[in-house]
Amino acid sequence: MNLNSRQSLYEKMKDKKYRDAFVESRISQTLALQARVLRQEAGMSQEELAKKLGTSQNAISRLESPKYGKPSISTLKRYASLFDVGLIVRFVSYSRLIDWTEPDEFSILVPPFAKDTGFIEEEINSIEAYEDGLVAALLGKSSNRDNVVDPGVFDEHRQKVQKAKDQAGATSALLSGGSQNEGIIRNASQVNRVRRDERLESARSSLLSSAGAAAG
Amino acid sequence: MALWRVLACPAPGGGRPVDRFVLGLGPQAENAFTVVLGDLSTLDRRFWLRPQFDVLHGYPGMGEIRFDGEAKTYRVFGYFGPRRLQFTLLNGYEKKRNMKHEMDEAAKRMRFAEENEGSLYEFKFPPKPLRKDEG
Repeated sequence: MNLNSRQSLYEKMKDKKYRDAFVESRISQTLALQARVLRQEAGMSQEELAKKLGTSQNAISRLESPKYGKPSISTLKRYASLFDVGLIVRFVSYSRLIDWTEPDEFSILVPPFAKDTGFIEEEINSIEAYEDGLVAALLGKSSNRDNVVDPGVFDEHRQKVQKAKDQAGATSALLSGGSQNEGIIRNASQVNRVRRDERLESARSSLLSSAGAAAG
Repeated sequence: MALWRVLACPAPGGGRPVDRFVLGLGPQAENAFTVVLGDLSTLDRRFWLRPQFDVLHGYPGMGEIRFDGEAKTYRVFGYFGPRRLQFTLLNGYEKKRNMKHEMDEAAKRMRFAEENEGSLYEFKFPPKPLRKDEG
């Protein structure tokens, strides 16, 4: 949200009725839509979901309606468990609520734990950060250069990266045919991997030619 | 970041009917519309379904965003286009039994939008207060 919108929203929020409506709509509208999207993404009909939750199709239909849905926290917890996603219910300041409820590509379509690429991305990012330092050192851009002149260190690191790549690859395979968000993550991972490979190859060539020159 | 870019179509005469409609809503309806539109804009078209959205039968490409507030039901008509991953808002109304006139009006505005793509503007919430000549 840009600053102008935030400021305009703040002006509106000075009205208590507006603040109450802000909270109410973010719960009733978003929960109803998420309930439907979660079910659709799992390929379930309302009847099938009702059977799994031990309730009626009519109850599911009401829950998916922003007009009639008044789910209890207990029902939401059962939903979250069934679809294997997290659930947040807490009180919060309005300024933070505005940030939290800003829609983005992950705000409605939530992947179950088995398809949650967030953890893999963190792993790749941490390896990438380590790798950036290593590449910089190999190319003589770091004061740590003396610590990493052994090509064996480089190969050991490559094995680590390969392990992370395999893990990411397995996740990608799991996601094949997945949703739009997973596709975005998959593409980002692939681009990152290609860039990383290019940088590693460049660093490796540089190291080997330096080693060759030193030996010669 | 949203998947869909939400645009609004001005009236052929230069007013901003969508903004005027939104600015006239009460707090409940305004918030309901903002949330529904914001949430849908992050989703594939396959998720644009009832009760939040419905296609307008007899009006190809057009659909309506549905929401309630202050004990009233509202419809905002729009269409998927003019370009890929764009959804253009055409006009909004309080729901009544027969909305054929309003739907015809929206269809006319859709044709205007197709022919005057440059006049479309990004719909941002909350809309700025309208000048007299934009109402």
